[in-house]
Amino acid sequence: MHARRALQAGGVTLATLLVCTGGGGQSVSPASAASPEAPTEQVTLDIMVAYEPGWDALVPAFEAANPGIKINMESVPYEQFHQKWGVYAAAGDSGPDWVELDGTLNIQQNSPSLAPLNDSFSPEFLAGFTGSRSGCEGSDCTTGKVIGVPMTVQAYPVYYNKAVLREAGLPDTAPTTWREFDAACSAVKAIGKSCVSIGLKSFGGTLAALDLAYEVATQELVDGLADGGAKLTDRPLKGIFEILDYMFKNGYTQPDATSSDITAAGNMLFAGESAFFGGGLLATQATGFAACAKALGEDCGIMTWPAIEADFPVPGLAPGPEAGKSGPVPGWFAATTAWADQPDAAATFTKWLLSSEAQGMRLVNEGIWPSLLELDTTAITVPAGFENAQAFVANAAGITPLYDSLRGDTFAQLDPQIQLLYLGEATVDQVVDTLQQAQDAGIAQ
Amino acid sequence: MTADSERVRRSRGHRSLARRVPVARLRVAHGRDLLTALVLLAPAVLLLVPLKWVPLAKGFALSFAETAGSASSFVGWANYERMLRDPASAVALGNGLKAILLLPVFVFLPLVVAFALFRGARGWRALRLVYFLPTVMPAVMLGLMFSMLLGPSGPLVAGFRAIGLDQLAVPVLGRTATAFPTMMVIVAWAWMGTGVIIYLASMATASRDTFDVATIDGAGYWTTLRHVVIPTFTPTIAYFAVTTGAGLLLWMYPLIFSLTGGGPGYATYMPEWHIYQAFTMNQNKGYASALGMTLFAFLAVFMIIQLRVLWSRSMGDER
Repeated sequence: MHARRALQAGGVTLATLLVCTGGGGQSVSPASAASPEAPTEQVTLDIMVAYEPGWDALVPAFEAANPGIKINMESVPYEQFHQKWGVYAAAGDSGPDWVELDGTLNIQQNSPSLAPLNDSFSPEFLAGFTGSRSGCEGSDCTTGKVIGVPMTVQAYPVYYNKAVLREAGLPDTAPTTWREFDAACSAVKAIGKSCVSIGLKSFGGTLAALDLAYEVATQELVDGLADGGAKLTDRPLKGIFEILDYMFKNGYTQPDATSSDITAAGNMLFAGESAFFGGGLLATQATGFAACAKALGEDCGIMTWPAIEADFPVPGLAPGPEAGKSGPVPGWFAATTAWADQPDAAATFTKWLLSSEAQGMRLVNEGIWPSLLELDTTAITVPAGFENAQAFVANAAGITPLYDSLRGDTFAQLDPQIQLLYLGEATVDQVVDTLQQAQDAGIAQ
Repeated sequence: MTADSERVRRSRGHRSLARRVPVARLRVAHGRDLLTALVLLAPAVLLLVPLKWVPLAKGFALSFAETAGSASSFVGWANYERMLRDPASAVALGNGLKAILLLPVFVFLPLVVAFALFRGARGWRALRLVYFLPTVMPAVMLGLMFSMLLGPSGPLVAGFRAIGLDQLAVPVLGRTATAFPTMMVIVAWAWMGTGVIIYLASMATASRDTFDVATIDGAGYWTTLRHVVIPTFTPTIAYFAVTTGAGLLLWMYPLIFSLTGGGPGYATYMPEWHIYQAFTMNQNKGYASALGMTLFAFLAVFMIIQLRVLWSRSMGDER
């Protein structure tokens, strides 16, 4: 009896293990068994992208142009993209061969998970990215480790609704100084509308802060922040948060902005409920330049944050040399993962995405701004608002973006700290102290 | 297990019976029982070791390391020290504690509702469906639904404004004082259905006499609930309390993600959210592991205390 019971239990154990471990192996049919003489056939490249409808056209076009490579695409909604990628990066040994990552900081932070691309591209090609510091470790892409190739351009403009400005009795041109901006906000508020809609719930405050940095920053300060030579707790960098604080305290923004995400804030502008939309993106499906042009037509304007003036809006704060400019930065980067099985196919894919054919497709299908490379648009129908965005990109600041210099958790702390500033639950000093602590910890690592 | 040994274990006259059974026979029976038990436990153990215990040990080791990609270096207690200085950690652990303190509400509210339904409240079949519906809705959908309902342009705010109650027209999820309590109310609502169904199932299997005696004695709803239902169903309450307690600390991520994103500020940070942020957004495996180990220890202590209290009460009631 006992022996039988033990035998039964042993059987259950064995069966469970076989099921759980896939024991027994898979049967290999003669047709699928690889033989040494079999010619090298199609390779499969696993890629991971944030979902945009354009990829549905890009992948077949690439496969048609490169019959030896089949793409296996993992398409993840943007909202979940960083979390999903984060799991792969944290595990560090499995996942896609090729990934499209957004933002310079993102590239830098993910460096250990990405393969060096120096051998995949010619020095002449890489020299084209020198100065942007974008996809490289170090400032020179010809010598530093190249970890990503910029595919698209991104920026954080301020959109405005010309019709609302006219309704408020204002000229429908963009204010260029902070005093003009202040006057415009007073006039807009007088007609019962919000001056600036901003999506503080998700990244809106972070993006606004990063772009307001051009009001005060110099290249020396940006570099200094990275190595501890400059501090967020000191002016002029502290001024970024003083400007935000001024806007919040003077009612520039919509009520309860901490409940609005970027899309909701953009929709306020499109619905004529606000005159300006800050902390948004240049190229994105929901609220980018094409979406704005589609919603407002000729009434969609794109501008930078106006230049601050000496002592205004913040007493004692002087404008930096780049005040009133913005910093178009590389948007999406193509990268090969450190664990990639098909690095050559990944490089081929990256090169193809930089071709005029692919770049044109992305512009037309996704409303995504083409990369830093020249793009001939004569043969394609560009999206509405393209010229506006083109003019905005042309007004680029000559320094590297501040987020290049953020270390550790500083970037992640920006959103909650700006939310607390907006709610009046943290002072500027408390905010910059917390951020600098995160920055110091990041530098020390 | 032999019939003899089972009798030995169950019988209140354990010692007197044991005296009548030869010691050698008992030893053999015990050895066979042990072998059977070990063989039956083997599948679970063989799965638990690689899937639970090894990752747990690895996580523990990682909590003393600093990582960059797949490389790591020993940093001693640095990650734990950092946790003490991190404002987000303090809020996340504080919120976890607050959620646990609210556990009696999460556990007893469904019991109150379930007993009312069991006693045949009018329309109880429809009510049962109404209470259970949120349970089958994905947490992400719940989060999105409530973020729209309670948002600045949602119907709640608009409704209050329409009837002139502007002071109440507040998007509660956008304020630090109200965001966390609101989230807890949503959780209570969402999980109530599970509790109601579990309690109803327990009550349905209980002897009708249990309740009839109370009715004959003239006990009302609350008296019966307190003196009959709670003592009778303590094991079920204990089960639901343990799973709900674990849920509050371990299964909140999708709701936070879609409802508040952890904000405003850090108001709706929970330990699980903070761990995930550290692990994925900040790529800090060592720090995330330290947070995870702290949560594990907190949860283990909480569960042990909870089970001891509830089970001892249950056993005491039986005696």
